[in-house]
Amino acid sequence: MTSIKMRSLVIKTTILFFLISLAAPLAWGEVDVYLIYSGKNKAEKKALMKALPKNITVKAYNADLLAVADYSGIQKAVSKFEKAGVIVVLRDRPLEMLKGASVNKDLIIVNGDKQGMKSSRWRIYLLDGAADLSPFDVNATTKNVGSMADLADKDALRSTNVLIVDDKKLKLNKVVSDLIGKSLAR
Amino acid sequence: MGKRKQSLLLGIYFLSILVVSSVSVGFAEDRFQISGYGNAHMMKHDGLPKLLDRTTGLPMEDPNDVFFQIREFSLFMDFTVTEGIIASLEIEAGDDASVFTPNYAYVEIDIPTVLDIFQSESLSGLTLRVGKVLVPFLSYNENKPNFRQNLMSQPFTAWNISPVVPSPPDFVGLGWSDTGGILDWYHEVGDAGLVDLKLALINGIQSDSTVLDDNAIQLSSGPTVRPRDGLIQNGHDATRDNNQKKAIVAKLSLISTDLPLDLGFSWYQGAWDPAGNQDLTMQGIHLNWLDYFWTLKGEWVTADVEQVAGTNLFPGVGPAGLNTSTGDYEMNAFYVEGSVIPLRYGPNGDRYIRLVYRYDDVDTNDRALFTPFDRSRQTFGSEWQFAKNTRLRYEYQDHRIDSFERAPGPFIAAGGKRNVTMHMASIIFWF
Repeated sequence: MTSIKMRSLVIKTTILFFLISLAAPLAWGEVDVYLIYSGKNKAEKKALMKALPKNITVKAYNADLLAVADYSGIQKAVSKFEKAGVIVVLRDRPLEMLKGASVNKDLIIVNGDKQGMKSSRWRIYLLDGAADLSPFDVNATTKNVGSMADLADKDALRSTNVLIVDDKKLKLNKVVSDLIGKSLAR
Repeated sequence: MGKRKQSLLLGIYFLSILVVSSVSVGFAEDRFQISGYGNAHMMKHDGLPKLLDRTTGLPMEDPNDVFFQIREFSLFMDFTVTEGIIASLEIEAGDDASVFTPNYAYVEIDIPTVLDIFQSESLSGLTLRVGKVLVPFLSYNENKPNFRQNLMSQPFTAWNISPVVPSPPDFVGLGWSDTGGILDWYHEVGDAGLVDLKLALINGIQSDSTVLDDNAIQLSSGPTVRPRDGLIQNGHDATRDNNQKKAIVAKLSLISTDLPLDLGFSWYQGAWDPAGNQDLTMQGIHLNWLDYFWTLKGEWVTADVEQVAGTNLFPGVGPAGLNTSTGDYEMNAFYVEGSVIPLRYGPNGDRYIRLVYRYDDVDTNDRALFTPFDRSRQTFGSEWQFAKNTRLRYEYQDHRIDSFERAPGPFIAAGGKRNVTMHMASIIFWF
């Protein structure tokens, strides 16, 4: 590499990082929830968005897009998700696409059982009544939920890994909405 | 200052500025993401011609000797500037970690978020990238790290035509990137899938000489020749535009909802010469079917080159019949690659053994007598993911030059053979 090219590279990189540092004090946009779905589950996505309180700001992300993203696409997607207060994932396909990703936010997984996406804070799986628990670790803490009262103990909830919701008695989206509210209130 | 000392200082500089920036932005954990990959390989060729250094006239290292190299060590860095704006940088330590290259450096703007209209379904998928960007042409370029691929070696489509891979053995700056911008828009098509359209305006592939494919070598038997190896040399000067006419790139992809399938069409057009009078036009298609137990991938590309006939860049030092340009010509290449995983084991089945086969074909011939880059290749590969994010690979290649009966004497005298074989063992890791 010639010294001229090296100097040019150093100058450009310095300007880029300087701009990034300058941008630090800018205000963040307010997104409460990032909802990650795939094209297969658009109807569920719409139903869940409808069920959430109107004062919550929700952004949706179609994980199928990762198929045409470049090789750092997962990292960029995670960068976006990190800006929300809570991350909600619908079904398994997004978990497969985001395999290996780790987020630093509360992570709520709805009707999925793949283990590839992690949270350094809290990860909880919500399954409907017909759940198959075989993909989960034998030491996973599970809890059956038949009414909203079962979600009252916040500390117990955060030590739970899997919630099995009796969907004959309680709508799954209502439980998701409650968990989101509790996460945002922390 | 020596090259290695410069590179070391550059590396220390980048790390320092990274730390300072991370601290200065605060909340670094939330705003800064870093990942990367690396690989090393051992190669042994047979059948390649021996070369002389064109400057000194001394013999170069025999290309058929065993060759060990740390090929790439790349870091991908993403900084969230503010909601909807991400600054991205890839720094690659290539060629035995002796040369640092920024493979891309750009700002990505999520337009609906910045304009606060992200609830709008029709405009929800619109982003703009500006800076040094990865060129959205075919599939391989945006998936070039080895951990995204099944083989260590690259297909001819990404080597001789689409200039993803630089000229070996000095592997520096893998990936075809260029200065400009990309507008990316996607739209969900009912429940069937989604359509993604990338439109790019870049400096483009260029040559300052009167011949586009102007790479030259000196055979150990004496003559200097243009091997006409395609566009290997022409895609890596991204910081300038030699004719002030921007190149246009478009890539349309379809992603299925129900099948693990994406396919697409790519198109490129730009003037390559300093006067801006002669165009390079390329079209290509790609397909990826990525199942849990097997994969099928393929690309096809054709390139039409406008070029003036009768120019000899090396009069007196090589055969005019080989070196003189022949006017407008067409290059093409394709590959088909299949892989199967006969064994999966370990936690969540993420340890496995994969078997791979790829067939490649390329023709860069501009209707001159002979080029060794009118050839086909079969690659037999295997990979073993034996630990988390770490794989061992072995592959065997058999190249066959299609028009070898027209090979000139000096090519054969320098050791060039009809069939070139190669054994390669490699280790790759990512984090």
